[in-house]
Amino acid sequence: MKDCLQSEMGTPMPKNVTKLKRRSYAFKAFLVMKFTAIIIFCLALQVSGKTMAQKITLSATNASLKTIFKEVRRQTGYYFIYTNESIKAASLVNLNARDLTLEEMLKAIFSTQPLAYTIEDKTIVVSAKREVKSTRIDRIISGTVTSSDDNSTLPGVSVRVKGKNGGVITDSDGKYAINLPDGETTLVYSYLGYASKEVVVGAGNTLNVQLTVENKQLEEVVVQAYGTVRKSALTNSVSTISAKELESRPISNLSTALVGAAPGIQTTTGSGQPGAGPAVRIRGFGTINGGSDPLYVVDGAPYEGALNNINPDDIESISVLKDASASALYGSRAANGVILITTKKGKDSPPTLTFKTTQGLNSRGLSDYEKVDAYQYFPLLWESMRNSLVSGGATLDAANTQASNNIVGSLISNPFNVPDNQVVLTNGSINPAASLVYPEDLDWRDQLRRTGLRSEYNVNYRGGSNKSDFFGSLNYLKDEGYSVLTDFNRYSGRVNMNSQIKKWIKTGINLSGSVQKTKVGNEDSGIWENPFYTDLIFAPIYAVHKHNADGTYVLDALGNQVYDEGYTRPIAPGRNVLAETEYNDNFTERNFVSGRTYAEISFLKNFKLTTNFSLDLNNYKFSVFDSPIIGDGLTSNGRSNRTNSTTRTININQLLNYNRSFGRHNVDVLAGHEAYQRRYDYNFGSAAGQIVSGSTELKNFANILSLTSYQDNYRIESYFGRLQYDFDGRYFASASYRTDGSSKFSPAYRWGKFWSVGAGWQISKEEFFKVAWIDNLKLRGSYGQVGSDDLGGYYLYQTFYDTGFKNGNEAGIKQSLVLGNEEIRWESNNNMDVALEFGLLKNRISGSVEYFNRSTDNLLFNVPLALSSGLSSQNQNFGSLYNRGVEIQLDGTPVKTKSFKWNIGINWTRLTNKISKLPFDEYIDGTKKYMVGQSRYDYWLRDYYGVDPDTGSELFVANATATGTKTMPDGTVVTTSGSSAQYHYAGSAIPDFYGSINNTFTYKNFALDFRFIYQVGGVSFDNDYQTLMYNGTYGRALHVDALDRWQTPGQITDVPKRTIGATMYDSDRWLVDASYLYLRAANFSYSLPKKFTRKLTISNARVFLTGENLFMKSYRKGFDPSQAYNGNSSYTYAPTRIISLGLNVTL
Amino acid sequence: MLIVALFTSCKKDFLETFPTDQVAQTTAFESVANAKLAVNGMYRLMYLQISNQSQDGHGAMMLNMDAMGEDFVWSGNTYSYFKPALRWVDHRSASSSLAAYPYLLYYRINSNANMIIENIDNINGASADKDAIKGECLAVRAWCHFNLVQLYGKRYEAGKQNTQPGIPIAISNDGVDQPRATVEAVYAQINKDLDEAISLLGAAPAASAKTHVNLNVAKGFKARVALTMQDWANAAKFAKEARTGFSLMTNADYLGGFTVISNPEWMWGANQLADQVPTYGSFYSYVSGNFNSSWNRLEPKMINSLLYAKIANTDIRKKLWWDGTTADKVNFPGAIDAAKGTAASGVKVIKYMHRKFKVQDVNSRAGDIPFMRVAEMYLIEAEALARTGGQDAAAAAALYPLAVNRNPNYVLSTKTGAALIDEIMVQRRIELWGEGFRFYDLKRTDTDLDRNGMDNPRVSTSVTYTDIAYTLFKARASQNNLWEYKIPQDEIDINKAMGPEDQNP
Repeated sequence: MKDCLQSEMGTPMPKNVTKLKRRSYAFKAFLVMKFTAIIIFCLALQVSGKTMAQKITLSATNASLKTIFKEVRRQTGYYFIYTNESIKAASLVNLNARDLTLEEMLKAIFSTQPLAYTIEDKTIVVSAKREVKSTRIDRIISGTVTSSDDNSTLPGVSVRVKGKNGGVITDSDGKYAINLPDGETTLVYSYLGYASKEVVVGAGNTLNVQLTVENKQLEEVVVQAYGTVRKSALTNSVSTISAKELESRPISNLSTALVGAAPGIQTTTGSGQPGAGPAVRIRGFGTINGGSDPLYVVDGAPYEGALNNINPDDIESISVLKDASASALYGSRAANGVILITTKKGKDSPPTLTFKTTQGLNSRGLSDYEKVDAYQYFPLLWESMRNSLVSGGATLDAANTQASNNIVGSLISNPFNVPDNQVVLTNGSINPAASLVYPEDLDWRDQLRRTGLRSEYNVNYRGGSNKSDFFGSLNYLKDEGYSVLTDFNRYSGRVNMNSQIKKWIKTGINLSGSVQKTKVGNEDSGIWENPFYTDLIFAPIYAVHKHNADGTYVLDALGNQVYDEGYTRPIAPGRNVLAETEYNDNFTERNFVSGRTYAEISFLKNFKLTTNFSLDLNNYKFSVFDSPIIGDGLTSNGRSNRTNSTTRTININQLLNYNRSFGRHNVDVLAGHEAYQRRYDYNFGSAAGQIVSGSTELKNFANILSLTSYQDNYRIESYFGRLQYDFDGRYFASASYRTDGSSKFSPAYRWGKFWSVGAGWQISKEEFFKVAWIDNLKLRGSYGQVGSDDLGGYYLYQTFYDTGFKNGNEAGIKQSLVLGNEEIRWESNNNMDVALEFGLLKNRISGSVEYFNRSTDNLLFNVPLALSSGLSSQNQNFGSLYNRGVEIQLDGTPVKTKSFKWNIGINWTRLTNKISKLPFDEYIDGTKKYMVGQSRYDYWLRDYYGVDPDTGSELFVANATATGTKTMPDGTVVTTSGSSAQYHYAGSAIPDFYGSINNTFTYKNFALDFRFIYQVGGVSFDNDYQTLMYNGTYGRALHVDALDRWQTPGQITDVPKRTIGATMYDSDRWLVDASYLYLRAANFSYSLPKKFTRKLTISNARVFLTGENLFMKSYRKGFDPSQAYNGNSSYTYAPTRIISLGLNVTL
Repeated sequence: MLIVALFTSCKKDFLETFPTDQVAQTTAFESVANAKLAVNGMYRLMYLQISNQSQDGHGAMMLNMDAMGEDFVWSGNTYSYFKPALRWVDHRSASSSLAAYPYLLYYRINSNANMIIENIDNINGASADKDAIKGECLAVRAWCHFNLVQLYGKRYEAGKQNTQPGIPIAISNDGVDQPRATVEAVYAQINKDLDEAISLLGAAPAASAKTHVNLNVAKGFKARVALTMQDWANAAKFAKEARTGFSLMTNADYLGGFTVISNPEWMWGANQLADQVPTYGSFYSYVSGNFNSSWNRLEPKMINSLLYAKIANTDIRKKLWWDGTTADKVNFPGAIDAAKGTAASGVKVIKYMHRKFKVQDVNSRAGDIPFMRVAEMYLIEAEALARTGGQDAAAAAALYPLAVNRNPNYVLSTKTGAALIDEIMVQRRIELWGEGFRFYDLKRTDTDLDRNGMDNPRVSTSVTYTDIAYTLFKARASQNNLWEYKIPQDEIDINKAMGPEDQNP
């Protein structure tokens, strides 16, 4: 719907349109909204309207069209919808007609008008035939325009006579009627997204035309480093995500959008903490000690702030630059790929207002480990105790009796209705008479979790003319976690305006800000206030609250239930995670302001000089209060921490562009200079001994524990250039060069040189290439070198003494543990990339196959120093590794009918990661060992053999020096001692392949899409399962597999005999297959029919039901193999499942 | 602004950035004043947490050394802190943090000492100041090596060539990895450093605070080393010299305020202030009788009942541990709730629990930590004389001032030979309980670890002493290898002068 709409309702028009035009856009938007409400109201009233069969009589002389409309309305009850603009050109009506049907009457009215009309329900929509000057009707050609894609009719197709201006537009049913002046023979049909078509008119007056979908890929414009490029001209590997893919998902952190978005992108599950997002890796793991995160660039400036500062609804597109050719212009920080985020801006179009809301429910998105209940738990621990007594020398009978007498004393809990010594009978079984007295209070999980509500409201407003454009948005998000007392609140806003001031100068400003507060789930801190750890590890026999001897709740003076500190509990004595969650504070706040501005000066026809300035300001505050009532704060009578930091980033660049076409040659040259500076200010204060309850500010505490501050500065200066060339849209070439100086390196080694070359060949455009079923075939390749200066510190070449180490009252300084290195320099990443892109069968099948080889040399390394040096490491460049792989992307449309369509997109990545050079022969880092020829994530663990069927002992393959070994029937020499076990490489955490599957089904106005991500191969260390299989510690929960423990000689099982206090060793017993299938997102949406929305003068309305993190299938219930790249998964804030309902309306 | 930005180019020093909380290494040795700062930082490492809450400097090693003995007794088995030492398993695993901890700690302090020793002579300044600094650092270096060689090397045996592998001798910061030197060579280096330190400190002005090693402390080190090397003459000689100028504390001080550095008996210690404690942990979080940590509150530490029985009733030290009577209970409130000033809720009070170590302010986990006391010097002198043979009377006389100070009814010992040595050792165990000597003493005297026979209660009756420590007996050092900590695996892997064959058996 173009321009502003008016409706004829048989009553005087409310005011008039011209007046509106003088008002501000905002006011206009307000009126439009109000208007919509009126229309809806009237539509509701007009049920009594007359039918189409009604005969009409009309007589008029030189009547205005409006008068005619009014009369028709009076007689039929049909409304007219038209724009003032469109009926401006209408001629006066002379008519004398009797008893015509509505349709006949309309034909008569419009036959002399430059207007088209359509009837929809009870409404007649009048549209312009724009500037059709000739009234001489030589021939009227009419027909329907359809899409070759699915045979659907196409409304809004422009139809014109070849060589003439103006023309008509097809109506909502794809129908058109056009005057073909005498002597003209050809009509031109054009429509956005379809190939224009010229048709020579034959003898008939009816001409139905089918338009072919143009290869969208070819026309797509992609954001690249310092500019945009047609996708067809790309010589490198870039994946893009558009606003459309983001708009119906309840995403709080934009990195979530990257999950499964393209081959080569690997993501972790990410924390379930509201506002958190996954970690992203592009094409493997390029370093050992250095940073592995990609560089984020937001609207042209490097961005190092929190990703959840940015409202995902403000994002127009995300480009993922995967290879060196794409990213070389970001030189020094591009080693791990670059993610370019472009926010929305206005368009050269009438203003639109979009309102979106989603309302969702949050719950845990991962199943829980299966654990034994209280009735199973007591006999298992009884057995541990009994076995230990027997091995301590007691007779079996004595041990049985003693265990029955003492088990409650050791577990310090008797939640049953039977006496302590009768909970477990002397035969080891639970007393059949035993039943739990307060089972509801033993369920910590139930009390630690809730259903969180997620509400999001988003309004944006955009528009523009050919001189200026504008975009503004406001967003509010409240996202409550499923773990009690956790949430994420964010207010954000953005204004983006651009103006062509003069023909030669253009400028604009993009300002955004957000304010957020997060109540943090204690997933990283001390274990007993960590609700996720407690959930995992507490045996199901301890009550959350105190109980009287008869099982009733102990109540305080106010009648509230009293938390049980469990002073004698063998697990977490003196602690209660629910009390601590309630009494303690743990929250972060962020205030973020970001501005981007530029001036673009065009001169000498082909030159353009641009300068960009950006400023990001991020204030961060982290507040912790540990209550004096219980927990860690008890010790110091309450404790409070405040962390405040400010990050200020300024980026300035100057770009000179030269763009020219000579015949079929197109050349684009860029030269630039850039300066980046990041300043980080940190303040921390901590105090203990709360004076008055109620205030958690530091001055309300007796002792200062710590008070510290520092500032870090990081700067980069760069010069760069790029040359892009294409010939006839068939041959493409590009080359780029950048030199960066980083403050992290000493002057002698400061400047790094980065470069890339790339070429592309659009084979399908060649004359000789005529394969009917291949629409697109392109070969491209690139090679380049990028770098990294990220080894964690800002002063890699300098060696320091640390200040602030007083000895009593005397000031002191101490040696820094890390040695600087004057010669440390850039880590270099050499990237090769070859790809074949294709589109087959009218692009029903399209995709690409890509090979990459990414090798890293001069690895930035914290080379460990001998412990006897008293230092930990030195910053060095040492070692090499590579990531090689194949990426396949396949998109297809298996089914396509007029009303039903199924699109499927599959991506698949296979990756080989290998270390090729190291500063040491081998180095063990936790469960991993680095060695040449191994990957960065190869497990090095004790070789678990199994359980000895004779004794029930845990057996390991013995190492060469083990004593007291035993040879098993298969010849393996085994030991029961973990310290004598043989270590071996037990598999890699890197999967064989991974990817995603996206499906979209559309049926009429309904759409259903869902995204699976998958990973096949690789192993993970299941820490939580190990925790739950811990043998014989009083009070710790047990996995149901513990029921399979060894009990009798000869028994074949994988679970050793139960005893108290055996040491549990890490071994490959805990390694499991890391394959998974994960339904990450699903979305069902319904767009209100155009016919309907048009009546409401709404351009778009959609309702949608979405789900995130819906389902995961992995080796074991509760186990999440995608939690961390290193494969070690353990208790944490597991991902949140969000089920939400949304509404999106665009006016 | 845009126009400015358009033509901006960076200033020459745009890429020169420096931290604000660190200074260049060269700055640290620009002046004697700065070098003194480096000396203070070296001492701070003695009570700085390394990576987890049972790794609080030398204080944590004092706890580990008593945990590996039989006199310092756990009352429960809930908390894992220091249990690795208690149960005698982890120090034998090269990848354990217990095996790595003392290695990291003492070499780290040692490296700071080396930096100063290497640079101090090149600084412009008064040589008296520089000599004093160098003397302190040499003594600290010797102390580090001495702790390490006792843990990682087989015990020193006088009268034979001690060619058994000791530890890398680290006396330079040149970056060259050092192999394990023999125990003999390590002791030679320790003595060389101590002799030079004593010579330099003898001429130096008096140290500013007891947190610094002065001449007395250096001689105390020398006495300890000699005792461990069974060099009785030097042990007695230096112990006696070391205590010159110091006196014993009063009985009132012992009960009331023993754990303050101003105590006259303290020769050397850490002066930990309230803002110098880690978030979790600290020496007093574990060993204090009154600070309200869950460890102290729920599992007070006790003296072995067998040792307690050996304390004379008139000995003031009998009052350091609760005798289990109601009358005495008032002296043992246990952990104090700082807000109320009374016993914390949930507190456990148990027979044989101590009140030897206390924080002065129950709001803070900070407290002074004793590293060397005069009492130890009396004990070294007495023991050395008693073990010399033929010097029993002198030994008894050396013991007497300490023993009678603690017990006014004490009568000069007339015991001789093994009986006298035993009496002195009992005095030593009582006096130095909780101060980190027991493992070293068992090892150097080649005595079995025997935890049998005690009748201490537990906070939970179902927990046995086997549950708590897993072991009640370990044969003496000469009979098995368990007394040597494993060299940390990282050192074997990284140190180019060391291979798997250098690991302790």
